[in-house]
Amino acid sequence: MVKYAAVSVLVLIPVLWGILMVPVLDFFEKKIFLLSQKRNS
Amino acid sequence: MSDFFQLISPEFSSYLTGPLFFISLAGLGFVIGILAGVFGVGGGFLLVPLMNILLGIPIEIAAGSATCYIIGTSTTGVIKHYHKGNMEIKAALYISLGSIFGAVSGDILQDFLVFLSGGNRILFEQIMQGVFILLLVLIAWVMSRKSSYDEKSDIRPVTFLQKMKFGPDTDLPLSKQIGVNIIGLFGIGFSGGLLTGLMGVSGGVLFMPILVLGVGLAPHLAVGTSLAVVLIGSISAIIKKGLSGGGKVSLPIAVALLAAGAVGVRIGISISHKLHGDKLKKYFSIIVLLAAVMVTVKLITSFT
Repeated sequence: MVKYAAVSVLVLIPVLWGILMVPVLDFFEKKIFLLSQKRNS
Repeated sequence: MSDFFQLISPEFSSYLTGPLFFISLAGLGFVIGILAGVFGVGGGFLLVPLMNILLGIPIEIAAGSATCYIIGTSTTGVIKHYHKGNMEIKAALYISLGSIFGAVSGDILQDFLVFLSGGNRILFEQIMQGVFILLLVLIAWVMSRKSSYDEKSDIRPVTFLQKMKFGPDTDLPLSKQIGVNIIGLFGIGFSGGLLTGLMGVSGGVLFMPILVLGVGLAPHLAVGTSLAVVLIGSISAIIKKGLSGGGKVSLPIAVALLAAGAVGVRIGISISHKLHGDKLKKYFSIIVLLAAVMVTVKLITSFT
């Protein structure tokens, strides 16, 4: 039982981290893009 | 409860401790993440020896934790590549399925061949590593050559998988291929998985050339599809390691690597998108040569 719980944690944490990082990085990418546009104009 | 924590955070000693240790891991995760984004590889072939040499993390823990890290970076990469239209999902699924079966068969075949050769596992692994180095050099040479077709053209050369007449077939719309044999896709994944199981390597570096040369995908599509195959392969590897007790995985190391790894992957994907297909192949051949050097170093140190 402990083995199954450990394997679930070892798979779920990186997968959830990977999914979570997509919108977070999208947000920062958009911010950087807007900032660079502002600086250019 | 202590058993559970021992399984996800085994004790080990390293050269560095405290914040410096975790910052170094984040830096490594960032650099390897860029490679994953650009070339669709897991990056374990570089990450594991670097963690061992630079930080003194035992190989067994480094390998397990790198696999856990690869799950995280490839998840981010797969989602982004999918949104950018760089992934043939059907091809990824059939090849992944084949590679899982192939990896298990490779493990069994390895045990059988070791038994046939008189039980000398070390000698067998050395021979396999030698074969793997030759294979990597061959892949690097083929990948460095110019493509025979125009990536932007609607006309695609008919591939071997389209010529196969038996069994069901499927279409790969993004690469404009009709009637691609499913058994062939499974077989290609099986062969890749068999090689990785037989040679005891993670083998993510094999799938991008397999997709370009075997399936006939354009380099950009191969990168995204390869990352999906790597993701499924890494999840199955962690499940296998965890349930068989064959490997140690440290979640704190994986999380530290992942802290900046996802940022690296995103930067890598942007770089990959800006590169022309032939350039991508050429740079990838350098990465394959780097992998060959790493395996050569491992082979030489096994003799001493």
